Amino acid sequence: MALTIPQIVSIAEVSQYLALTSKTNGKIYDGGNFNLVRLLYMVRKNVDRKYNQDPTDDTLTATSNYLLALCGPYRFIAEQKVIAGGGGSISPITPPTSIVPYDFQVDGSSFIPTGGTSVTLPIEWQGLNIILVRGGVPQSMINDGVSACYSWDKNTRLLTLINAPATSTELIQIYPIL
Amino acid sequence: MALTASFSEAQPVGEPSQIVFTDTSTGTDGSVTQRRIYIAKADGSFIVESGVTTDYNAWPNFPSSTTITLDLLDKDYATRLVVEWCDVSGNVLYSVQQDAVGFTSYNEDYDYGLTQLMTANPDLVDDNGFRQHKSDLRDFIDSGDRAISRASDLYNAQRCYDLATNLRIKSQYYFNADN
Repeated sequence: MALTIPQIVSIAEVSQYLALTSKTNGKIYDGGNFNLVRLLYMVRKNVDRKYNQDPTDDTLTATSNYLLALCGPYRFIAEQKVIAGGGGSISPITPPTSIVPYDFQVDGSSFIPTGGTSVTLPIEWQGLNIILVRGGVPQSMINDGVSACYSWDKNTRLLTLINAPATSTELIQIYPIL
Repeated sequence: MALTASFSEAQPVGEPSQIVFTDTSTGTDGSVTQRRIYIAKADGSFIVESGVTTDYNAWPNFPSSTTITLDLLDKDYATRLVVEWCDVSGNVLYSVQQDAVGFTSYNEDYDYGLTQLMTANPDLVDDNGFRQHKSDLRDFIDSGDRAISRASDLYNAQRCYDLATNLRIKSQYYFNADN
């Protein structure tokens, strides 16, 4: 089911503080070219005001979709918070009690340690698709033999880094798609 | 039941120069036949429609006329609003005041237009001038609103709104939207 504009505004509101807390922890995902927190705030204010003025305004489809796109990977966590327990496209058959995305800096003892190439995620990740972000860049699952990519077996919950093992100080984030 | 006078105001969608006043009074008073609307700016002067020579805008036909649209804004303003309910001789029988009201449709609508531009051309976000000035525009509007909501400070609210207005009317320098 498509998200409504009020839902998108709420998702952006949650994404805003998720982006902020991610930034203050030294882990930035903003495309490397703008303060995502600020951008989310500005565009969200615009869309929210326009929707409150006239919910039928025909420009809202484009601007609200743009706002949702700005949320980036935070969207998935935000959706879980905003639409928790609701029906629709993100409601799994067995709602997870707790799925916390992974967000860490690689070192000798991190979730994927330095030089590591694979990890098995907890049972609650079974059946889900994921998004892997390395150094602020979403990774592809297409293996061209050269570029860093990954494979994910949602039945065995095995995440494998391909062509590029985890390197020390690298920032890695793993998000579930519910 | 005696008249309990009250009113509300709003700016119609897409018409930043207009204000729609709605008489939300309850009860009755047969002596009241007309109303007067005072829109005071931060400097104490009044905003009236073109051709009006008084400090107030007339709102006749009480109680049959419950709304009136005034077309009189040329930019965003921080205002104090007073509506008086008067008898046929113009004697004030009731008066209601709102200490601080901001009318920001000019700059808010323009800001939304900038978001539409970004939607059509996301690369605008990467432009130093565009993104910083859009952020400034948002700050100026929000700061003016805060001055009103937190302190009823018309003077500083108007200063903030005028900073936003400056960005809007000189958009060719601040937003390279035509590129």
